[in-house]
Amino acid sequence: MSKQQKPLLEVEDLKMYFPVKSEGILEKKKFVKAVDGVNFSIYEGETLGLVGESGCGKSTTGKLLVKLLNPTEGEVRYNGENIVAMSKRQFKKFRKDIQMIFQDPYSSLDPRQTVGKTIGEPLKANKVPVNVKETVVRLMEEVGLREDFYSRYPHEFSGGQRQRVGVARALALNPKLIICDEPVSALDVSIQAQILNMMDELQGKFELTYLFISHDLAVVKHICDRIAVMYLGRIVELTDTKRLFENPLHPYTEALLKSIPVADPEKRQEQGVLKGDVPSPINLPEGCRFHTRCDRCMPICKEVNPEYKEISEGHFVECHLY
Amino acid sequence: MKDTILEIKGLKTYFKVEEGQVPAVDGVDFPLRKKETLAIVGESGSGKSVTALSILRLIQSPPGKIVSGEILYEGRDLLKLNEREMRRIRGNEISMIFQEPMTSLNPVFTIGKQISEVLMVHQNMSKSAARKKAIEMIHLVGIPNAEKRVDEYPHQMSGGMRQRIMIAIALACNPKVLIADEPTTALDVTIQSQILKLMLDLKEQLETAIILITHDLGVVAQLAENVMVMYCGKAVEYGDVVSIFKDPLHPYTSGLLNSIPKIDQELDKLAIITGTVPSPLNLPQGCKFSTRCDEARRICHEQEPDYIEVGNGRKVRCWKHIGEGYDE
Repeated sequence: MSKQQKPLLEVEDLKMYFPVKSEGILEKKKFVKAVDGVNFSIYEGETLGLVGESGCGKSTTGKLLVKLLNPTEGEVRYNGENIVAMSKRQFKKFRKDIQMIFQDPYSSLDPRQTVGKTIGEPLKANKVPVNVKETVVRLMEEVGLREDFYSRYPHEFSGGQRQRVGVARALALNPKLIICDEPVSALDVSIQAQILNMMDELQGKFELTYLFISHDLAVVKHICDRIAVMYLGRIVELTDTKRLFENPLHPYTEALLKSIPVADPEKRQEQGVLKGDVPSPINLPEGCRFHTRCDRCMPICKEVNPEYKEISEGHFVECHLY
Repeated sequence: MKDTILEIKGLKTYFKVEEGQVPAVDGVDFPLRKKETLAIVGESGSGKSVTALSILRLIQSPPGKIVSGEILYEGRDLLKLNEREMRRIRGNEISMIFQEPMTSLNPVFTIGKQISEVLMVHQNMSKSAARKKAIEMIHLVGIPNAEKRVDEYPHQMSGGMRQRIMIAIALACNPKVLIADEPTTALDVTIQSQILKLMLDLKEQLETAIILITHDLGVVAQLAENVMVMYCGKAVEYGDVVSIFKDPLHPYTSGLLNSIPKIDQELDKLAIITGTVPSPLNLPQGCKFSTRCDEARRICHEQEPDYIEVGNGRKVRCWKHIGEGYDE
């Protein structure tokens, strides 16, 4: 990623705390710190991956970027303008530019609306001056759906086809940025490959920028230019894909990479490298939040949270080792 | 083979639905040797789980029915046993771990009670002996503080720990065969890796044979010795894990292997299998994969190929390897 390129979206110190029901009236109010201070930029035309295990805050981050949630603190700047401070009305003209594809192709489509209507809805809602039917048919063609599917209902489709509908809907308003929240996790491998190839083609054709949220590192490696690794609400490492896989710096990234089963029976790996469970996001450990599972933990890690810093050009790490 | 512990021959399990009959399992044959790990691979709806449930005769009838085949466990056909004899096998000789560690434990009993139950039923252990053994099992599956944990309820544990408890229950009676149905699918990668390690270690220690059902080819490559690939209810390929990955014979197997993004390789574009799995109510006439196969010829669309042996213990169901009639 060249330095000259301007970021399409910048995220600064973004925080999202959800209150938890307290157990007594005298008890101090507790929060789930789902996103706890993340910083990153997405550059035009790139695919940024956001990976991490369940509960690390990757989906919450995605929702914050499309303003489906309002953050506790922090800024999200789209083309330099802070969308967090905007009212719904002010945000409306940006909403066209930032679209989302959801994980579950079963529950993210309205079962009582035909596919044609679902894809055309954003056009109508935004009063785009086009022939809706024609545009929808063209979109369906782009995502590999036959024209005669127009008046069919979601239940008549397979998971892969439904996900194509979701992609067509996201494309309807000619967006610049698409937030893809685990778009292929619910699909079988042979279908997953079809969708990934399609997303890749569409990106080139429509000059799209993707934020690709996933727990599957193999998928992320295949599709992303840069990758951010999240752990318990914070980004612990962010760099380009090649460097991340060849030279992971954060012990968590390293353990994560070692945990992926390689599809080669002649390369058997040691299993169970990372011990223990992820701590609760309500009672975060003092100091570095990974120290409870880290095999290179130092005394300082238990007391002070490390700083998130750029240790070489474009390589950010949050760890006391560096 | 003389060290074969379980052998499935010509298994067919059909389900009656309103629109007709679904051949969920329609011709599955495989042997399982002592201490072997066999992986059954396939996409959703290919019949992997129904095969597992059929072995334990846990298919709900109606709508399901095992229409034909033999399930030979130590030479005895399980399909001929009555329910009482079958109960002695289940959980004792052959046990099973399910995919969902969240839903397969009973939320109202402590985990200690759930582990003890199997021991008291199958091994006639007293309550106190069973509890002692339960603590031992919790310790064995790598959960610290077993003496305290034994009195906890499932909701007090994480997903990974619940799956460890499931494994403890399944292995409590030291079964000879363990069927693991997508044991790590619901778990995060680092926890998955921990569970895989646990299964490998326990297999060494307890000498259990494992049938591992999964759609994750990475897990297969890491754990299995032999692999059976299923498509639309049929076994389409069988062989040792290295041969299957290095030299897949069936076009579906190679399609599946090519369509996964590889962590250790750079690829510009993923190879794909075109189309989708056909509906089980409307299966193609010839080879079930013929509608998606690049190498399909006329005979493939007309006639179902037999499941043939091709040497080195490998089997495949494909006209290309039968040869005869494939030229046209």
